[in-house]
Amino acid sequence: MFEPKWKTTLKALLYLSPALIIIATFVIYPMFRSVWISFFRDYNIFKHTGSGFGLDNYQEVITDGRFILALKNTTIYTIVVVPVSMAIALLSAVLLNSKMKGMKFFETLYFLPYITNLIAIGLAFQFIFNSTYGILNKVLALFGIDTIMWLNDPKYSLPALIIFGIWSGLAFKIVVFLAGIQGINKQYYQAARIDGTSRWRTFTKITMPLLSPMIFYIGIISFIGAFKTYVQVVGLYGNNPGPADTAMTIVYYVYDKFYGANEPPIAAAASVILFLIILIFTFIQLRVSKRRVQY
Amino acid sequence: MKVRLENLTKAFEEVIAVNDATIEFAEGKLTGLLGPSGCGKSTTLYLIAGLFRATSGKIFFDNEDVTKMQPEKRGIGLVFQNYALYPHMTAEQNIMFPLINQKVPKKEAKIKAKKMAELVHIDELLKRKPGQMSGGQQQRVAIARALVKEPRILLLDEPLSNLDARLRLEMREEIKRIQRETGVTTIFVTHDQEEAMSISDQIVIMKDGFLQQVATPREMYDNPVNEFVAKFLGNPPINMVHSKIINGMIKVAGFDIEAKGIEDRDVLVGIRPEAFKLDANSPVQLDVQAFEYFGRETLLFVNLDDDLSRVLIESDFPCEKGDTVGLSLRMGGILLFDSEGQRIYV
Repeated sequence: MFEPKWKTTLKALLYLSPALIIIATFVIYPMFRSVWISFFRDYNIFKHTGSGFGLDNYQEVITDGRFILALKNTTIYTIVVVPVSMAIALLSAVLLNSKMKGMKFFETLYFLPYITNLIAIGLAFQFIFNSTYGILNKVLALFGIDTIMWLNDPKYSLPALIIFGIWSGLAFKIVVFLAGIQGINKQYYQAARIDGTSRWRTFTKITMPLLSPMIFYIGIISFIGAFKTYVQVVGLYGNNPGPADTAMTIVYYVYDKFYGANEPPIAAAASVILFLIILIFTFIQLRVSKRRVQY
Repeated sequence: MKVRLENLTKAFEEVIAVNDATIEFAEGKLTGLLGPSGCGKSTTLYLIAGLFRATSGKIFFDNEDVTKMQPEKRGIGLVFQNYALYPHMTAEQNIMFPLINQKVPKKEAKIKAKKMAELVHIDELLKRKPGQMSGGQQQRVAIARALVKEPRILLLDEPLSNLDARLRLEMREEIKRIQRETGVTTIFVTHDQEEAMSISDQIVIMKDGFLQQVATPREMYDNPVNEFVAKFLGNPPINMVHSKIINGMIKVAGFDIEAKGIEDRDVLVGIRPEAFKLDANSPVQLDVQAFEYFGRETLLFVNLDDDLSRVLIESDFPCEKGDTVGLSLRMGGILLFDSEGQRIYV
C-alpha cells in the first residue's frame, strides 16, 4: 500500500471533484441552509433575508396537531411496513431460491416493480383499492367481508397506505435478499442436510445468521425510507394526504408547509426534526447490529 | 458397516462421472478413494452420502439398499473439503448442531461434544469460531462434527488438500488414529497417491469414471493391474520403456529381462526407480544425464531408450552429471504391460 501523500491526496480529490461538487451543491449546502432557515421566524428564500431568530419554529411544529398526526402516522407506518415487508421479502427470496425451472424469469418479474415509477403503481393501487370496482374488495367479499372505503374512509386511509408501502418496497428487498442467499456457500446446506437439519432450523440457524449483514443493511435503509415516505402518499391520494389528512406523513407535512402554506422556516424546522429522529434511530440500529450481526 | 456399490452409474448432462462401478468398501477400515481430478471419486463419495442421486445401479450399507434413501436417513458423517463449518457458531455449537437436530437434550449434547473434541484434540478451542482457528483446527472440528452423531460411515472429501505440507502429514496421521480409535468405516477421497498409500487399509483407484483396482496399498504398488495404476502410484514414478519379447527374453538398454513362457510380442516394460542397483561390474554402463539430490537418496536420469529414465540410488554414492554408472536390476520392481496397458503376468 502507498502512504497517503499530499500529491496523491490532491490527485484523488481531483478525480472525486465532479461528484463532490454535485453533492456539495445539492445536498450539503441545502442541508446547512435548511438548518439555518429553520431558526428564523420569517425568511425570504430568494433574498436570503430573515427576521426573528430563535426556536419559535420548533415550538410551533411540535405543538402543531397536523405535525403530531404526521409523526404518529409515519411512526405507525414505519413500525408496520419495515418488519412486514422484510419478512415477506425474505420468505419470497427463500422460495425464489428453491430449485425451479425458469428462475431467471421470476427473478426478473419480481424486480420489475422496482424499475416502475411509484406514481404509476400508485394509480394502479387506486384501482385496486376502489371501493366499488377494486379487486381487493372483490376478494374480501369472497370471505364475507363488507365493502371497505379504502381511500375515502379516514379509518382505512393509513392501512391502505401501509399496504401500498409494503408492496412498493418488496422488489428491491427481494432482489437484495436473493443475491445474499445465493452468495451463501451451498456446502453449508449440504452439511445441514447430512446432519438431518429440518427446513425451519436450516432457515433460522443457517440462512438467517449468514444473511444477517444483509438483513441489517435492508433494515436500516428501509427504516430511513419509511420515515421519508412521501411518494406513496402522492401516488395513492394525489394532491391531498388522504381524507381529513389521515394519511399525512412527515415529509408530506414538510412539502405542504413549503409549497402549500409558503412557510419555508416551518418546513425547515420539521425536516430538521425528521433528520434528528432518523439520526438517532439509525445510530441505535447500528449499535444493536454491531452486537447482533453474526461474524 | 460394509458399503457395497453395485453397477453404480452417475451421468451428468455432459459426462458419465461414475461408470458401472462395483466396489466393496471393507467394514471398519480406512479406504482411500484415489484418482486424478475428474475421475469420479468425489462423485462416488457424494453418491454414497446421498447428495447425488444414482443414474442406475445400487448402493448397499451391509444388506440394506440405501440407493433411494435420503441423505439424512443414511447415518453418515461427511467432512467437506472446505470443512463447511458454520462461521457464526463456535466450535462447540458446530459439533453440537447435529445432536440438537436429533433432539438430544442440550446438556447431553454438550457432554458428547466435549468428548468428541477430546478425541480430535481441540477441547481447548471449543469457544472459538471457525474464523479464529487454523486450517488444521477447523479440520478437526469438522471431523468431530461428523463423528459426534456416531455415524455408520464416515466420508471425507479431500480432507487434506487445503492444508500446508507439514500440517497435512500431521492430519493424515490424525485421521488414521481417529479412525482406529472409533473403528468407524471410513472412506476418504484423495488425488494424492502418497496420502492414500500412507494411511489406507485399502485403496480404490478410479480413472475416467471407471474403477481400476481395489487392493491394499502394498498389493497395489507391487501388483498394479494396468499401466495407469502402475504410473499413478509411486514417487518418483515408474519408468516405462517400449520393447519386445523374443524367445522369452526382453532387452532394455543392455539389460536382459526374463519373460519365460510368454509368446513373442511388443511389450511395455515398467521399471520402478528403486529396482536399479549400483553394480560397478555390470555389463550395463550408462551416462548420468542429470540428477536430483533428495538428501537420503539421489535420483539419476539415464537413457534406457530415447526418453530419460529415473534411477533411485543411495546418496552415499558420489555421482555427477556426465559420470558413467554401472547398473543392474532387481526382479521385484519390473512389470510388463501389453500395448493396451493391461498387465502381462510372468
